[in-house]
Amino acid sequence: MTRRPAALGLALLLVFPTITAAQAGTAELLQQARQLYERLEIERALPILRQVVSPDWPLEVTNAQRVEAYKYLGAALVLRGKPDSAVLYFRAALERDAFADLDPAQFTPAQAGAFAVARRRTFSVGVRPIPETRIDPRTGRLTVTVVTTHAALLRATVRALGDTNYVVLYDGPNDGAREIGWNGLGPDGRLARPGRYDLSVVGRSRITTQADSLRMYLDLQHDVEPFEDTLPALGTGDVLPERYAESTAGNDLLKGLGVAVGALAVGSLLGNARLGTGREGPIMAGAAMAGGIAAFSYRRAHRAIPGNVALNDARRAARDAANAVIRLRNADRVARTLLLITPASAPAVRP
Amino acid sequence: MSAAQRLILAVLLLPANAWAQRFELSGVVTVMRGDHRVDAGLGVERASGVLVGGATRLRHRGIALTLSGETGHLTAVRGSGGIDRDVSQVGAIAEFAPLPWLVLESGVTLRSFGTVVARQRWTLVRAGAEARVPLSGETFWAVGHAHLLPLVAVNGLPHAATAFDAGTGLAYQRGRLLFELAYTLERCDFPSQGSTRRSEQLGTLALGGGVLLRLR
Repeated sequence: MTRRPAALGLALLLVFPTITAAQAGTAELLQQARQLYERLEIERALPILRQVVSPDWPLEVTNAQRVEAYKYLGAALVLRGKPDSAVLYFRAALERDAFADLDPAQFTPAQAGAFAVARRRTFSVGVRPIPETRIDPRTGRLTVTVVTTHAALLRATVRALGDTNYVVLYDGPNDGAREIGWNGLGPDGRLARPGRYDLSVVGRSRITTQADSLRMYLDLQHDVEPFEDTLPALGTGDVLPERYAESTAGNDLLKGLGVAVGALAVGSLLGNARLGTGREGPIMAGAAMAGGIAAFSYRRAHRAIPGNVALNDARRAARDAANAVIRLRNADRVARTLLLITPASAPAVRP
Repeated sequence: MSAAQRLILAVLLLPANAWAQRFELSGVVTVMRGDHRVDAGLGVERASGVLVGGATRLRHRGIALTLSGETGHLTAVRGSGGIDRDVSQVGAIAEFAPLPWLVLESGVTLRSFGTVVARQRWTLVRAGAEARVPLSGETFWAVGHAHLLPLVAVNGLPHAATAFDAGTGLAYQRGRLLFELAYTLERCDFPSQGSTRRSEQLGTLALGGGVLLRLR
């Protein structure tokens, strides 16, 4: 059990120095080539630079290192009087990084001229990596830097993955680098939904027939205050019955009969037998019976309880009003939603 | 100052701040058919007729005070051996409702029977209860009431030995309007005096109508 972690640790110790040494090796070699170039020891710099861009080079070379090597190769070949070859290397640099450029302070006008030729002959589009960004859609926007190596028609769009509708960020002529922005709204004009987005840049050269495109993926999240829950719908325990039960009419009839029987009972049971009673009791009994029958008939035809209906309506209205206020507050929270945008794919990927 | 006047004055002198709370004041006009029967050892004497009067009731939450008064003429029923009599009565009843359907009541009634021969004054103290159950919604009510009369004092007679009243009725209230039909049988049995035992009974069927005002 204890041998496995030990073996893993040993393997890591062996592998990590190799990787670091490989990267350091390429960087050191490039540094050495640059120093030779600056000392105008072109003949010694060229083999080193060719070694770095060679497919046989065993050490790891990053894209930036490769672009750097191509630029110095091109610059060195200009100094050696081989502008055509230089242009080829500059084109190789531009194909790998459309943002590649020569610093006028470090390179000669002839080199810049060759680079410009390479620019005209090469067409590629580029997008600078987007850092993790938090934007307030009401005031801010996501800024994306795109570039074309020469004059082109450029179209940049963004759409949610799986969605057919897209937002056009830019559609027009372009030459060089350009900043385009996205305000975080979807094609329907509403705040873009959380999810993965596809930022697509398509360029069509206005000089050659070349076209280039690239795509990068962004993850979008909403940073919103937690919502307030709306009040739940009124349950059976929260509302009063709005209709009398089926049995109510019968009960009313029984109550009327009870009053009638009571009126008769008062006269016959409680009255003084010697004195007798008048007709008031039977009249009351008759009226009570009629009242019971009337109540029975009325209740059969009118089972609604208007008072309870009004109270329930008032409770529902109060609940609806409270929910409307809560929805307003939630809408305000939504309006204050911030968008958190993180790149999902590192460099732009050519489709 | 009569007892009725004193009660009215007491109502008028309620503390002013009490009016800041909700009161209900109702006034009812009553038309009553009365049937009076008495047996004083000479057979049953009957007299019947119509009494008119009114009542006012002030209620605050579960407590109420009712003042009432009726007057009328009872005509002797032919062949019963009785004589005509004028009847007047005033009453005051205090009420307390421990439950929505139950009202406990206690009160006093001062009654006068006047005939061509004499005038008889009655003082009746009663305590009992009234039950009201809805007959149809919150507008139509079935009513039943019963009271014991622990003190029935009549001038010239010993206090009643047994006295009570009971009855049933119907009540209707819609908005501010009130209507009530109530039957009440009041029975008083007096102690035997020699071989004679006096019994009196007053049966009434009262129809009342009035209005209810809510005061703030």
